[in-house]
Amino acid sequence: MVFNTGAALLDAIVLAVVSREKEGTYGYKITQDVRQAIDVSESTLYPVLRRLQKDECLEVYDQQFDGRNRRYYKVTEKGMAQLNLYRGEWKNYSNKISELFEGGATA
Amino acid sequence: MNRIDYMTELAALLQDVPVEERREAMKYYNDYFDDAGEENEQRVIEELGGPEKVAATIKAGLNGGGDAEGEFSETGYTDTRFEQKDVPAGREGYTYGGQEPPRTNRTLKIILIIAIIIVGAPVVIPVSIGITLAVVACVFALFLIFIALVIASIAVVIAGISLFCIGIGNLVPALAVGLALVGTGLLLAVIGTIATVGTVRLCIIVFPGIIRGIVWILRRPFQGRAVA
Repeated sequence: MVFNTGAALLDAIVLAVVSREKEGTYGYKITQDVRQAIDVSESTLYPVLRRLQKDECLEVYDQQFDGRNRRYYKVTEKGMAQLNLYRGEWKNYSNKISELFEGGATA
Repeated sequence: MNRIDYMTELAALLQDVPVEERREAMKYYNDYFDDAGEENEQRVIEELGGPEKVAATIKAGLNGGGDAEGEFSETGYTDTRFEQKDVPAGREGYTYGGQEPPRTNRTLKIILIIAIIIVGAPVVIPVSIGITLAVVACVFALFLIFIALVIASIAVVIAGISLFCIGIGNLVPALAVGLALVGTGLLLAVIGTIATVGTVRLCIIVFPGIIRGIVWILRRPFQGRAVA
């Protein structure tokens, strides 16, 4: 990918990925899902998840899996509101950029 | 390096973050290895980068502003602040040595202070004793001067009274001499009394001043230490 992405977009992507799982999802799976969209180092996501958790956009709970306690992440109401804000912003932003690109191509 | 080594080193590198944060991070990466599965262990270790990088990323996240510095590029997410730390040559031997420099500094300081005391003692102790004794002597002398003034005044009074008595004794054999002696005696007694009263008053004024001065001088080093 030639475009650089800031922290806000990473927050938005992580929130979107976690929000797809109604029952919540776990760190390894979040990383793999995010990596389908953008090439992100495996060590990048922990600080993002931790910060979103502290900002009360994500909540965590431990659940038995395979004889051990696995930590699950779930989007909170505040997190959903934040995600919707990001969605709106992204739509606005990407539309303008697309318009510029496509308009430039036809002119 | 296997998973156990990796997690041990990460825990060691996170010694200086709050317990809660360390526990959270260790839980996350422990889960991460579990979920990746044993077969992916080496791949995960390679992709995570060194424990130093992971620890640095965690700490940067804790400092709040840690997200603004990172950015995505064609090579993935990179944080410009950690790039130099990624391939540290002598980092393998990293220990808990971080706290040692201040400790040696303090030891050095104590040794220097002891050395100064040992070297300086033969000079400093006699000199300070000498100065102290000189000050005490001066103060004592000052007291004595004022006391001497009082004694001198009293002596004048006594001399006046004595002359007065001698003058009375001489009134019968030689009237003129006797009168002169009585007059001089009275005069001296009056002057002596005035001088005595004056010097005693002077002492009453001066002595508390001197005592206050001594107390102030004695207190000074302690006050100075308290301020410093």
